[in-house]
Parts: sequence; C-alpha cells; structure tokens
Amino acid sequence: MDLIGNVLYGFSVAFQPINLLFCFAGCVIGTLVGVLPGFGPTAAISLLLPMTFRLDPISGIIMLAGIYYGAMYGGSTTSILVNIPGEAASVVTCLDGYQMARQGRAGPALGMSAIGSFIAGTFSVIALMVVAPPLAEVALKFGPAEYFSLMVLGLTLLGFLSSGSISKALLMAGFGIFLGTIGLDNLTGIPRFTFGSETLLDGPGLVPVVMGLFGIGEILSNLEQPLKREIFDTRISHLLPTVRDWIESKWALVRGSVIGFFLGILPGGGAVIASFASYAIEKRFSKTPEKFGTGMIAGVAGPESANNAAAGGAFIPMLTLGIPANPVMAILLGALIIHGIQPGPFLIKEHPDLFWGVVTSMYIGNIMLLILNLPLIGLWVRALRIPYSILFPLILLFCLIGSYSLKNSLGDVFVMIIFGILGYLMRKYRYDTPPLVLAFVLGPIMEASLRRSLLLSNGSPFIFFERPISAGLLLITSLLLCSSIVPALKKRREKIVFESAD
Amino acid sequence: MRRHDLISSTIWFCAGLFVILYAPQFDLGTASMPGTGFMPFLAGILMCIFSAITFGQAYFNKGGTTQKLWGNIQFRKLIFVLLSLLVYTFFLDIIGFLICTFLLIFFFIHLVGSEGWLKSVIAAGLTSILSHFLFDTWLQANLPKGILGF
Repeated sequence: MDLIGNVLYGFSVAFQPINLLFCFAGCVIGTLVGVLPGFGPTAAISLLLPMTFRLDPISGIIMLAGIYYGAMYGGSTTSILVNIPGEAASVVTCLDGYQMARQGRAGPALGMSAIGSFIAGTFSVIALMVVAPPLAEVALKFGPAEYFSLMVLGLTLLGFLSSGSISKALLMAGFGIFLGTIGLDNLTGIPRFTFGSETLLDGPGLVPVVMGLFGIGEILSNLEQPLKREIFDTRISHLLPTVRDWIESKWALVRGSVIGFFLGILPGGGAVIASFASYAIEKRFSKTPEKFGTGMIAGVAGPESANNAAAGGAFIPMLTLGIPANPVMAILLGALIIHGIQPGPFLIKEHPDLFWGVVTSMYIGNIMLLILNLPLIGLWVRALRIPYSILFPLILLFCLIGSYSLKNSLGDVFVMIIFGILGYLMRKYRYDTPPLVLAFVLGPIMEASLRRSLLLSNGSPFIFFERPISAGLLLITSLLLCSSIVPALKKRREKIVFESAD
Repeated sequence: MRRHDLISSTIWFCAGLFVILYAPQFDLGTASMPGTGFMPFLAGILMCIFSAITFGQAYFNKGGTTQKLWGNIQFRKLIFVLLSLLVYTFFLDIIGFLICTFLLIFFFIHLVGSEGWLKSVIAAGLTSILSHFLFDTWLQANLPKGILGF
C-alpha cells in the first residue's frame, strides 16, 4: 500500500507540466544522441549538465535520465539501418538487425527493438521501485568502513569488467582517485596539488573533466579518420512485428529484461555487457544457433531489451547507496551533489519527490520513447544524414560553452582541453575512461570514509575486516583480484572482453 | 600494442612516483589521524603498482600483436582543431563570444569539414547567433562580450 501511495505521489511530481516538458526533451535528445554515431549518451549528458544547474534539480535529473535511456532506444536505429552502432550498447544489434534490413525486414527489426525496449524499460522501472526502498533500508546500517569497502569492490568490479586489461583499468582508477584529491582538503582546508592555480582550488571539476574525456576525446578520435556512413536504402514498412516474430522473440524479451536489470546494477556491468550477455544466452538457448548473425529477430529483441533494462537497473546503486554503476551515473551523482542533494540511503526519505518523481518519469519517458521511435522513425533516419562536418563543430561549441558557463572561468576551458587530449590518448593506448571517471567521483567520498574509519578504530586497519558486511565485500574484492590471476578464469574473461570489443 | 604499453606504463609510473614524492609535503598524518597528503599518497602507490604490472605484462608478452597506432591519421586536422580551441579560449574574453564563435565554427566547417564558403558562412552565422540567444539571453550564462561590447 505504501508503494502504491509513493508511486502515485511520484506521478503527481512527474506529471507537472515542467517535468513532462523536460522528460520529453530528454527523450528527444537521447534518441537523437543514440541515432547519431560517434556521440554517446555520456558525452551528451556531460554537455547538458551545466544547463541543468539553472533548473530545479528534479527537472534536471528527469531530463538527464531521459537522455540516458532514450539513447538506448535510438542506438538500435543506426545499428539496423547503417550497420554502425549509435552507441556501444547497440553494437550487438548490428549482427542480426542489419541482416534483417538487408532482407527487407528493417520495419519489424526497428519495431521489435522499440517494443522490446519499452517492455524491458517498464520492467526495470517497476523492479527499481520494488528493490530500491528496501535496499536503502539495508544501506542505513552501513558505516564508513562498509562504504569504503563497497567502493573498493565497485572499482575492482569495474576494472574486472572493463573492455581491456584489468591492470590498466585499475591504474586509471588510481589516477581518478588522485584527481579527486586535487583542490582544497575538505577536512583541513589545505590546498593539494593546485600549484598556485585558482581554477584547481575546487578541484579539476566534474564537468570539464567528463566533457574533455568524452566530448573532445570522442571528437578527436572521430576526426582522425574520415567517417564513412552508408545508409541502407530500404523502405521502412510494417513496423509491427508479426505473430511469428512475437513467438520467436517472447523468451528473448523476458530473459533480456531480467539479465539486463541485474547486470545494470553491478558496477561496470551496464548496458554494453548486458546486451552481449543476452545475445550469447539467446544463441545458447536457440534451437538454430547457427542462424544467429543471419537476421534472427531474437538476436535483436534480446540485446535491445537487455540494454534498456540495464539502464534502469543502473539507477539502483546510485540512488540507494550513492555509488554509481557507470560513468553516466557518476555524472548524475555529481549533478545531484552540485544541487546540494547527497545520494545515498537517506535520499528516498529526505527527497521523496526527487526519487519517486524521477523513477515514475522514467515510465512516462518509456511511453514517450515508444511513440517517438515507432511512428516517427523516418524523422530519425533523416537525422542520420546530418553531415559530421556540421555536427562536430556544434558538439565542440557545446563543450566550450558548457565548461565556461559553469564558473565563467577560462581556466575550466583549459582543463577541458587538457582532458580532451588525455581522453584521446587514452582511447589510442586502450586505457578505459569509465574507471577514471568513477574513481574521480568516488575519490572524495572514499577518502572521507577511510579517514573516518581509521579515526573510529584508532588507526587500526582491522576495522575493515572485523565488521561482517565490510569483510564480506573485501573478500569478494580479493576473490575477483585472485580470479584475474588464475589462468582458466583469466582466459574466460579475456574471451568475453574480446568478443565484446569486436 | 606491446611497445605502446611499455611506453605508456612508464609514463604512468613516473606520474605515480611524482604523486608519491610530492604528497608528503601536505602531511601524511598518522594511522589514527590520516593527514591531507595520505589519500594522494595512496593513489600514487596504486598508480605505481598497476603501471608496473602493465609494464611487466607488456614486457613478457612477446607474442602480442603489432599495431600501428599512429598510421593513416589526419594529424593536420587534429592539430588544427586543438590549436583553434586554444586560440578561441585565449581570445574569447578579448573579442567576445559572437565574433569568436562565428570564426571558430566557420574555420571548422570550411577547413576541417571541407564544406563550401556559402554553407560555412551561413552555418557559422546561424550557430553563433542561435547559441548566443540560447545560452546568453535565455539561460543567462553571461558569455564574454569583449571589447566590442557584444
């Protein structure tokens, strides 16, 4: 009864005209970002982040969340029609989606992808409503030691699931923690590693760092080669899948939704891993696995539902524990902190309007996205024809204005350019950016938890092993690290990562 | 990738070492009362450990694939874009947002994007005016006006 009351309260917030408007804006921008190759949701959210600082936090977060799950919807369009994934989570949709388009079945592929996304998105929102409040209650029992151990586990898990070498990912996590310590020390007020720069007194700043790493870095990577885009010229008709399509896809939708939701909760899991896992499972369950890659609709339905369910699941650790599962959630966490809202176990109690408003807006957003992606598919296909020569200057301009307008400081723009170069080099040398961003956001919270824990224990590090939850979390961390050394497990992980990177 | 990993991990190791050596200046504190430099010191150690592991993996993985990271890259475009961004940032306060943005977008579309003069001028003009209205007038971002006052 309590849940129903909260949901109704959430809808009363989400249905406010201003929130509906920003939810719609987020869904439109998200779909556009998903459709356009070479520009992901992380870059888009970091670009629009400064704009939300002038808005009410609820409207701002509703819009940013809309961009995230909207991009999951839009990403499939380019995968199916152009064979270029609009964003990383739609890579696997290319395999069967594009083959369906070549066989003149682009309509059902796009239709199943949108409907599957809707079903999975709705499932994950409902699951989020059910799971988040009790989890927040459990998290209330967490002290600084448990928080510190949880963050260590989160960063290790992210390294374990990253797209390349674990040591490189953990190196980036270490660098991210260091970046998080630059600026005034919260406890003593002593400036660290600022080298006399006023810009660095508050730290490098989340917005310039993520805009540089994801916005400028991505543009530089795209510009180094001419971007080829060949749209498969096909008439898009019969968007609604046939009865046979439904029969072939029903279990893929169910499995994709469940797998996606749980993988979305895991730090570093996210939409990309979820879509690959769903594809692999569908292939394994299929009676005709050899036909996968030739235009099987289950190969579109499964991954597309999984990536949308993962987008919903990713909100759980951020909203209940204050620990982001992926870079997008890290940016949203940063946005909440800038708005003066501390995400964590108290968020649901202290800001019920924000929690329930945002969660229910996701349900409304899913309906908006279904309408945007089925009848209006032709419009998004037209957006694909925007030349990159026009698009990239606009993205760069957004980055410049975004980082400047935050504090009206040119220093932040320089910081953004430096991180842009760093982001570009990291892509070249295959260093993952997500662990860096996540550690950068978590760094200050980790530092505070570590200091408080050591203060409580009079300097004894055994506090992390004496408390059962903290000890359990550290045990899992050690097992993960050990498993990366065991040859059989190491090979298996590399195989998964190699398949996802391809 | 092997050679690139050896180079990059060495650079990261040096960066970590710098953090380790510099952090004690901010006081490391004691075990029961960690000081301001404690966390950066810890982060520096992590950077050194994992860059050393990356180096070791690259060193012993002699059968790894050889990839040309810097082959077939349009360096001129990249350098032009980066320099333009730096020049834009340098002159933004002096010349003002409208003119600076017009020139930046024009150069990007015309020189980097290889679009025609007319298309570049129209796109640059529209972008600078619309973005000024959106960010300065509507969102009150207080973009620099420069010596010309607009």
